[in-house]
Amino acid sequence: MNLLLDVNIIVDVCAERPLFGKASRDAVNLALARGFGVWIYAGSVQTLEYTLIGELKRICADDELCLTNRQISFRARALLKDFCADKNWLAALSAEGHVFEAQDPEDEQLIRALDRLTPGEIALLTRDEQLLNRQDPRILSPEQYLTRRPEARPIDFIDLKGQQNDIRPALETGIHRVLHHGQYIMGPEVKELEAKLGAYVGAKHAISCASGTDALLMALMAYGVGPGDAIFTTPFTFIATAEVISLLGATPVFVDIDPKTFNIDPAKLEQAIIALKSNDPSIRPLPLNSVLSTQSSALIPKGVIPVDLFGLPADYDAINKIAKEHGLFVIEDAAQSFGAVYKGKRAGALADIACTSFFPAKPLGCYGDGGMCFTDDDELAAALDSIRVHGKGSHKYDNARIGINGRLDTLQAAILMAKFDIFPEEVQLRQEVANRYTALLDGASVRPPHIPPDDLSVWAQYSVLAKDETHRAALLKSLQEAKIPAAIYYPKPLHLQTAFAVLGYAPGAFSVSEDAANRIFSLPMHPYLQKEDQMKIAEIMKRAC
Amino acid sequence: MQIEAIYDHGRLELPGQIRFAHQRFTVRIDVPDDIIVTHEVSQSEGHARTSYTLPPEVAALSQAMADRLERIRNAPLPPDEQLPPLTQKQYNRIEAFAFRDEFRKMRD
Repeated sequence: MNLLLDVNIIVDVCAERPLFGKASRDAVNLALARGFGVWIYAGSVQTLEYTLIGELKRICADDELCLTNRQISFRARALLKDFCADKNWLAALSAEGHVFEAQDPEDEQLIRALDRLTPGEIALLTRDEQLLNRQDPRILSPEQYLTRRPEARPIDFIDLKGQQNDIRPALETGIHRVLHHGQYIMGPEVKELEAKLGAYVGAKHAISCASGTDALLMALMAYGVGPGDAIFTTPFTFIATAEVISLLGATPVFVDIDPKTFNIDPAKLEQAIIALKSNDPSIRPLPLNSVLSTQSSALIPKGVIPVDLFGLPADYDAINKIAKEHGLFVIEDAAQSFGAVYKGKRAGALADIACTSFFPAKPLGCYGDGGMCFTDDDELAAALDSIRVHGKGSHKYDNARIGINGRLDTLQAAILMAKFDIFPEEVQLRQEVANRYTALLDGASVRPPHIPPDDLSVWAQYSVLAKDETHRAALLKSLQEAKIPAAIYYPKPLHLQTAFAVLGYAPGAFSVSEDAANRIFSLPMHPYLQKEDQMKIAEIMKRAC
Repeated sequence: MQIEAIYDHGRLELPGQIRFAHQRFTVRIDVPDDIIVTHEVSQSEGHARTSYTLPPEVAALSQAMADRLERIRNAPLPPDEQLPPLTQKQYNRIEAFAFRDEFRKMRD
């Protein structure tokens, strides 16, 4: 359980108060050693400093030491600086200000702070008898905490809390700044974020939007995609990629994946383009409306949307070459790959337009929905800028085209800026976690991910292949019994989804995707995953083989 | 090491030839049962006396913190005149918190 420290506990430890210092210190270290957060209420800083000064003065008097107020103050600050260095600061909120009717305003502030935290996850650690006598299960003495039954820290599939604690000061400052300037729509943080992320990716233009799905929709709209158009994409992905094609009345033409990378197979893409152009499903499976079309209603191949699945970029050299030969545009679905590298270039700069997502679970995620388009093309950038604001022309009430309400909230931009500050470091940590998994799973009966030599995955997921569906079920059961979360991305390929039944694809049409859907599953993956947790996961996987 | 000391009206008198590295530390003393008249343990002390066992790695972590803070407590201090002056506001706070502590003691 995480701990919120009352002032008396910190003074116990810093002054090593006889009788109390050791237990308070042990309780704090027990929480830290088990990986729990230890919090200090930011509103207590002054109380903390002057209470410790008072305690140090008492000690000096007892020891007949002659120190000046300045020297005692100097020592108190040095002790607090050291003690607080690895603790989290809990912000004092305005709701904790009006406490003057309480018997003890300081205690009341702490109780109110507890009220906004998740019950069962954090306790107030104190020696204050008045607080302890409230018989509130959220309030513990050091001894009560030390004699509790040991609790195991849960392994998270994605640890957003650990990350949040690391960036909390920047995060809270950013959010408060927006609350105070009040420009909730297209505020200054939005432009700043676009400039930063565009520079990071290496794209001339970055156009933020409300979600990764909107980014894809806007990109297709910028190309004027509509009924009669065919867009080639993978069936082994989240529905958003193909959904936006159908939303615009166009037709998704699925192309099977490479069995090693799970990304669209360039060789099969070329065959699918030829199959569509010649309306010959014997070359590659085609959607029903293409097969049944007459010459006048034949689908027109317009573009390709490769997906950088699990954070690994697709093979863009091959895809862009094929697309160019057939006069197609390429939209990079980089929803999972922001931060990845393909042959020296960052994901987000690998096609005509790239679209990423800031869904919370993504490598760079906000606290809601968000997305961004990247392009080097001035005209496309202008179109995207217009489409995201209802097709605006020269001003808000001059509408040059049909668009959408697709703007990124300023609050989400502020959150992303705080997260982006540590993003490069997190990408590095993700590599280390992935490398550890691959080494630890050596000898297990699952196939680890394959990363081509010139590429760098950003490891949105660490997905492995079981031998078959039964084997996967057994492994997942073992993980579940050990309370280790796992997920299947994706259990059913898009061509077999009811939503796309109208396309008429039969089971077996994309055998590699179907096989992957039956065998794949993803393990916990985030930059803060501990080696001990990974060892436990690998051990379970090997034992369950 | 174990040494003999004399209890005299609330103070412990230790042999004069021993010098200690620190001015303040915890000691354990054996008190003969036959001289104890009453033994009242406050609730706070009661909490402090609860026994618990720490895993060795946690105990080591806790000891490391104790050592670190002790080094800070015993580090030589700069001469008073080399330290930034305390403002009147800071002196006021020191007084205010001393009053607060007195107030709390009266309340308790």
